[in-house]
Amino acid sequence: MAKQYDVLFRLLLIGDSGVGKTCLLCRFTDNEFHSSHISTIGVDFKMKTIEVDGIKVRIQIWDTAGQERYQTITKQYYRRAQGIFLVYDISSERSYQHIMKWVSDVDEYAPEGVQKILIGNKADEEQKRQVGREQGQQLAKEYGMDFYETSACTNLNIKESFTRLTELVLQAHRKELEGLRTRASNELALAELEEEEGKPDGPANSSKTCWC
Amino acid sequence: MRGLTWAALLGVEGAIHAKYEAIDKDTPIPTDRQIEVDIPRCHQYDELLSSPEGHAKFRRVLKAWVVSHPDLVYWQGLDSLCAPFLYLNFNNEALAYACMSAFIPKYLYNFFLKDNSHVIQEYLTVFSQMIAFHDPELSNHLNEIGFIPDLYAIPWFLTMFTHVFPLHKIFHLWDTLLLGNSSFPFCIGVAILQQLRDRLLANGFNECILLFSDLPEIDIERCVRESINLFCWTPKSATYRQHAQPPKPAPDSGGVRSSPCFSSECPDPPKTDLSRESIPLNDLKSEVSPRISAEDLIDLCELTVTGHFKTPTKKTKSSKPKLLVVDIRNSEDFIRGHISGSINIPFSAAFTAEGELTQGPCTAVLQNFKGKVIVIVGHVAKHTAEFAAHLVKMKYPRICILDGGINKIKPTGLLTVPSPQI
Repeated sequence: MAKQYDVLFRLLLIGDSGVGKTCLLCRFTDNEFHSSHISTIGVDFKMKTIEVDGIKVRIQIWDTAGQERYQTITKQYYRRAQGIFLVYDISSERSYQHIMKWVSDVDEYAPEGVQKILIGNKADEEQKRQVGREQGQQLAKEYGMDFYETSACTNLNIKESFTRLTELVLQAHRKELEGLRTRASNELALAELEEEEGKPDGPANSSKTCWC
Repeated sequence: MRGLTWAALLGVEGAIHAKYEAIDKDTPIPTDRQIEVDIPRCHQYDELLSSPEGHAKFRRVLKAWVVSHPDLVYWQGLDSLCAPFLYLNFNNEALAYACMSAFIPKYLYNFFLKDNSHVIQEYLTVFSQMIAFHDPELSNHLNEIGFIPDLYAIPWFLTMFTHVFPLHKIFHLWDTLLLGNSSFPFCIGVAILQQLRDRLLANGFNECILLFSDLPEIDIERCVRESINLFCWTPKSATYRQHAQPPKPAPDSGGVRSSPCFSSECPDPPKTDLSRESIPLNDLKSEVSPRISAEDLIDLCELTVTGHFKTPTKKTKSSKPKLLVVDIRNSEDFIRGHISGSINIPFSAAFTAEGELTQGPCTAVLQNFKGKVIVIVGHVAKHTAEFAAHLVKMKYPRICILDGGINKIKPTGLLTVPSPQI
């Protein structure tokens, strides 16, 4: 069966609990918005295919639990990501402050060259705003990231931010992808990178166990 | 009615109101923020739980639990776990709290430790073995595509399915869960997978994760029925976990206290020698099939009762499935002594290079037993596990291995030695 896409990328959503990671995702993939999504436990996933620069990109988006303790579980997914959304809530100063911590976790667990983008979500809640737009811009600049204020509720900048991160990932992997554009064949695809990645780590060679 | 029945099943008793009253539910604690974030997202389709009063009650019960369990912490998901108890005892917070406090040690022992990874990892590994035991074909497929329980089953077990199902389904499911022991949830998990079996088998990794991110409607009646059936087919010790709740010490009978026995290590104190032993997590992970204890094997083979004759003494054990013991040691060892009724298929010559069973009278017997419980017995753990894994690859269900191997049986005097032929 021919693949419906040229490449497959993995993007990851991280940020404090309740900043709206799942809402961003549902708005993007299903164009739906529910203000009270159940909390995410462990990880959750969605997929969508978009076309960027003539390339059909299948993006697999991993949504993570925001509660800090879940990091023991979620950090193992960092290393499989090619792009990461760092999300805070503009009506929560605290979630903004925590971005620094999330960035340092990315530095620690994500692969080198991973693309990052900063998102200030809930931009529709102007009257509850605690984090100024320029604060977001400033922080993004410090870390050399792009920045978007988004609203899953009003569908502000959702498609734009997902497309932007995808572009960044594509650019970062341009070399590997060059063959792809010239050849119509789907054979050589970065997607193949994925195949073995989903598998659990090989069983650690167990020590000799003899019942004698 | 259900609220009280559940409380009784959970053994809730005593001065629960006084105890609940005495807990400080007002002083701010660091967990407050997380609880505030989670409550407005928890089963909010329900009128009671989404009401301001419901939120206030939620907050108090959760805080009471956090404050009164200093060794445990609030993990997201605890809110979902609280929901059925709160709903059923909406006007009796103390009972909701008491039920939740009794439920957690029984079914989720140490899941809410600050560092719970060893508990969860062991749990998920045992779950993987249960999938292989009950549905080898599905297990093979899921392992091949790398669709491991870590990716989907954490919310199932951490919340005992309360994060996955709406309240009316939870009630139905838990009515049965509360009658079972702490191993029952594994069977529920396998039953859910089996309902999605065709779709899982037909799809690769990406489709499978999508399927689970938006779990399709599960027929809960069927799920309950199948869980019970799976439970009946599962040898008790196959779901042994070293991080499970240690058994309650037997009621003090006089001053007879056995020498300090690490009760957490021996699920059944009087028979420790024949119980399962804990092994390192990596070893457990490397084994596709579950181990069962010598105790279980003896019980399943009905060896304790007059083992000489095949004539069944009583039909009392008719509910127990028949089983076949496959001894994989070499034939010399086998002749020196083996479990009554076992067949001998030496590991070294059991499989062809293509991984097929070699032909022979014993392998024919094995093939005839496909579908029944098959216990692999050897004396090298690695070989036994490998043999079992081969059979799972060949879609043999209900494969397990004897923990500790043949040496566990030797001291019992239950090995038969055929008299020399004249």
